[in-house]
Amino acid sequence: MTAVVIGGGLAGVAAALTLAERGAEVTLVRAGPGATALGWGAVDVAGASPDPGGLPWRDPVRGEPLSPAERLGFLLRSRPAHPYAALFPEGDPQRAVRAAKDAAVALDAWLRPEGLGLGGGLDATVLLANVRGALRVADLATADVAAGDVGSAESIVLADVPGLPGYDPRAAARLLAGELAALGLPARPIRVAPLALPDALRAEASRPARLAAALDAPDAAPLLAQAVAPLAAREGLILLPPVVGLARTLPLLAAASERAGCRVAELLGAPPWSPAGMRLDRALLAALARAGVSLVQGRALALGVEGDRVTAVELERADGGRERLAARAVVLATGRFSGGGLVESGDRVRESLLDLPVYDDRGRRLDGEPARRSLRRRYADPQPLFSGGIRVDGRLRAVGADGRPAQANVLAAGELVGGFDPAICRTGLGFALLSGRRAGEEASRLVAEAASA
Amino acid sequence: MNATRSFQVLVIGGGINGAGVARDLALRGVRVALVEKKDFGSGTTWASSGMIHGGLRYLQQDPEVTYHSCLDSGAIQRIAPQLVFRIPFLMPVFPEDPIGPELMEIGLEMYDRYQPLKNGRPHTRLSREQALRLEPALSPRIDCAFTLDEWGVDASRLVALNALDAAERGAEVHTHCEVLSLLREGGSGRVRGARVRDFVRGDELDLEAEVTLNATGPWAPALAALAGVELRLRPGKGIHLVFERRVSDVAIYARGVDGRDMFTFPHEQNSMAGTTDDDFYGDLDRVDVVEDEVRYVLQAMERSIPGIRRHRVIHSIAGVRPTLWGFGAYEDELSRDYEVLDHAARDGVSGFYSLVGGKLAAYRLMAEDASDRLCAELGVDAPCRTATAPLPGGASTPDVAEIARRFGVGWPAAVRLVFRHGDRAERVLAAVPAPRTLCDCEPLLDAELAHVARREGVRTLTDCALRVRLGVGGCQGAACAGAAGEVLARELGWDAERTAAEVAEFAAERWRAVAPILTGPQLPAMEIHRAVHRGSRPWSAPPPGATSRP
Ligand SMILES: Cc1cc2nc3c(=O)[nH]c(=O)nc-3n(C[C@H](O)[C@H](O)[C@H](O)COP(=O)(O)OP(=O)(O)OC[C@H]3O[C@@H](n4cnc5c(N)ncnc54)[C@H](O)[C@@H]3O)c2cc1C
Ligand SMILES: Cc1cc2nc3c(=O)[nH]c(=O)nc-3n(C[C@H](O)[C@H](O)[C@H](O)COP(=O)(O)OP(=O)(O)OC[C@H]3O[C@@H](n4cnc5c(N)ncnc54)[C@H](O)[C@@H]3O)c2cc1C
Repeated sequence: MTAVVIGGGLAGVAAALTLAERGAEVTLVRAGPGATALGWGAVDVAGASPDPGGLPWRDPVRGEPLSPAERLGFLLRSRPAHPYAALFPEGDPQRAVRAAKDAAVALDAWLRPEGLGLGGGLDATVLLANVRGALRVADLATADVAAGDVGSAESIVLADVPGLPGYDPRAAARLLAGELAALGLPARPIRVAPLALPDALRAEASRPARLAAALDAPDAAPLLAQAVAPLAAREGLILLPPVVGLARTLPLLAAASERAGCRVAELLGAPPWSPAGMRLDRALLAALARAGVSLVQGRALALGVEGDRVTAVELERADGGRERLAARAVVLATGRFSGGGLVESGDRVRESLLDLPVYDDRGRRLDGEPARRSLRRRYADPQPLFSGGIRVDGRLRAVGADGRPAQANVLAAGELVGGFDPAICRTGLGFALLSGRRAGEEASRLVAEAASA
Repeated sequence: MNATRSFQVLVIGGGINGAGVARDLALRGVRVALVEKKDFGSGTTWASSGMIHGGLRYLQQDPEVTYHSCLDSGAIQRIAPQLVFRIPFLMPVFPEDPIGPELMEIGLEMYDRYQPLKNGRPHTRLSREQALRLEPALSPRIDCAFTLDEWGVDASRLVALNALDAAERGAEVHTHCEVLSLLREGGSGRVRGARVRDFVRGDELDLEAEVTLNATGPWAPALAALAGVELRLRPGKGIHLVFERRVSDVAIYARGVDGRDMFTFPHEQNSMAGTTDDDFYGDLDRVDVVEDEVRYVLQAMERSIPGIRRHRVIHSIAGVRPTLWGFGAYEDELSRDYEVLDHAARDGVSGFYSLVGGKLAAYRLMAEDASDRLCAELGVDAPCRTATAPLPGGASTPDVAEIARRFGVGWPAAVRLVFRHGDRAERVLAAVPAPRTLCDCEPLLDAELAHVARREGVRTLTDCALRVRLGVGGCQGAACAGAAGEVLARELGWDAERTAAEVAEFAAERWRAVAPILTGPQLPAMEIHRAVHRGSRPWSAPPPGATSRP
């Protein structure tokens, strides 16, 4: 008899690892990679956005830049529909900041063994540039990019990797300068300099994933360090495109940084290619294995209900076999449309496993009608459909149409929980992490209760 | 207000007809200007099925249209051999069909007589088993099926090639330039050209001409009204649904609940399904697909291809036919014929003509007819050469394998490039040092983008959806629009802000094509689209929805 977590994005993995840390027996069922595997490297707890609907970068009244904690406080006060309200019902930003800091420490520890880590923090905003030169006003990010805080750099060097598709450092340098100006920050020197990789590595540049894999080879670290060293600028920051390995990113950057004598970091990714999500996804799966969580590659098809609780999860394994897992507690962390937690079928939007009610960020039900009904014609308009998801109560139990827990032992975490549009209200991975941890805690309590009953 | 320029002919409207006339006149040595308010082919022509066929459908009411279309189809195949492709059709016959195999056979035999005009093969009759073996997606309920040979073309590319050839032969072509008013002698006399607004540059210019041609398709009545002329059309809206992949290898006929014929056909790596034909009274600049149309098309398709709903519909295309006015007939029964109107004779407004109606398949003949009339008025005595002079790239067909090898690009990318650029494919590939594909949806090369920006007059990123099929696949520009914006920025000298604004406008434009038909399987893609285009927007870009272009 175990806890079953459905969904293997950050929310599900955080729930499963938290359960495992508390000694519970956990099985995680995962159909495949979800939105977590598509990220660019930021792990936003309360990221600012230039969008009118996003969190502001400056205090709207005083004009001062807001700290991450202030943005989180602003969000708790002004967005009652955001599911952070379920995690922090008393609306105390300090408590929320403490919880986020704890969660960040935990995530960092899960990632470190895989050559990845978490950086940034809730005390100061980090300004992270992506490969196009656009700035992200962020708090947490994977350590490889968090070290590239542009705000604290006196001068910046963008490394040019000739032949790398989708990356034009000169264009990026221009946009970056414009971004600093748009944010009202002082200009600083931004230089583009070629990264003199040995020919064997340079030949791989036309396929970014191949270059990244080639840099993972044991003898690549000194070669990279050697190529980076000449770019060094005092008090400066060297930014590389995100191709620094798939499994050994931090050691590679550390070696380069030591050799160059200044900070060396990666740019955030951007389409068409960003390894950040894939790296995160890989590292999370590895952490599951280390913690002894049993992972079932497959899709949960239905939940078996007895009385007021779910007792079993029926699933189809990736190899085609069927299986029924007994469960004392279930955590739904199935994400939204790109995860698979929300689908449209029978010409209406629905939550995929229990047909739980789906609400947008204004409290309107979305699951009675086809998706297109709630779409606005203008891309610039808010799109309620993409803020939609299920609701949870203060103990993260998934809520039914009557506003009460749908089942006594079904919890939900991550993006499946609605009330915000992650493209605009930048809290996606942060909420996945915080709610996943909390759902893990609640689930371990339920498992313990059931065991003692 | 600035520059005034003078021409013999001003052609208004850069659809297939306007571009066709501009090319025809340029080939005859006439000084011609062509203005298009958006981009070439962005009106009705982009919305067409791209069939250069005779239209089996018109055989009964309009055999003239069938004859001319077949004849002109043959000519288009000669002048743009790279851009045409054979579309074998399957026509399933169901037990409940009012027209049984025998009657059908008679109609097809009639059509067979026109086939040689367009290098088509005669029809064949297939047994149920043969048809199902050929196309397993077909409904097993069929009695039998017929094959029918037709030709397709990339319609917006055909417009661009006509405009390009016109330009290369001395015509002046302006995209994103809308005619706001007509210049008149003494205020209300002879039409003397037009005042146009350039929406990219944000200024106006006067284009003076001895004769002005209104070739604005369904907008023709509005343009004629600028001269105080009443022109009546019976505009008919038509839609297509575009599937992420090919639903079938051949085109398949389907029948709507009302008995109308429709079809699904492969186009590049997509399939398209359509079309509808409904009287349209709305705003021509906002033709949206509505739910009823989607259901109507899918219902029809499902009868022929039962599994059709499993396929992912990625976007939709809607347009309005500039059908000639007719009263008391159903939309489908209206004539597909065309007219060249001399407004001097008709309305007492001299120096002003309109070209309306017709079909893509007969565009060249229509353009020839219109050009003959304009030349007569100008006293120009040069013969039409459009039936024999190849369009750009059409003079010879290069070796795909050789090109793929020499430039280190994949076979599919090379095939695509030769299809679109013919014997200019190598020139296109030389536009950048090491050509690369920009998207996984379709092997679009950065070299092609750079080339069309440099040599073919592309002015905005949004143009590229029509011009090079940027972002019209499954990702709808999530993966490729940003990188494409940078290619154009380099070529056209955009600063970072302009580039960001162009990318934002492109994303918004794709959304307009997707939102009305967005259903289950495409929802994840559009969620990602938003994460990309709303979730990583620069701070220095103008706020969403703030673009100045109409
Ligand atoms: C392109 C993109 C970029 C983004 N960038 C950022 C960023 O920079 N910063 C940030 O903070 N956020 C970002 N986000 C948002 C963030 O990625 C999501 O909010 C977050 O990953 C959600 O995590 P999750 O675990 O809830 O869901 P997901 O990661 O979507 O995971 C859902 C999981 O559930 C599984 N699943 C679903 N149904 C079933 C079933 N029936 N049985 C078994 N398994 C099932 C899926 O296979 C998947 O493993 C981005 C999102 C996208 C799409
Ligand atoms: C759904 C559908 C399917 C079809 N399928 C086929 C087919 O398979 N085969 C076939 O032969 N035919 C087909 N047709 C018909 C064919 O598409 C049209 O006959 C043809 O495209 C009309 O071209 P046009 O140049 O007259 O009009 P358009 O392509 O509409 O061109 C007119 C242009 O004028 C511009 N314009 C308007 N006002 C102004 C202004 N004030 N200043 C400057 N420019 C202006 C517009 O932007 C537009 O680009 C189809 C039509 C539809 C709607």
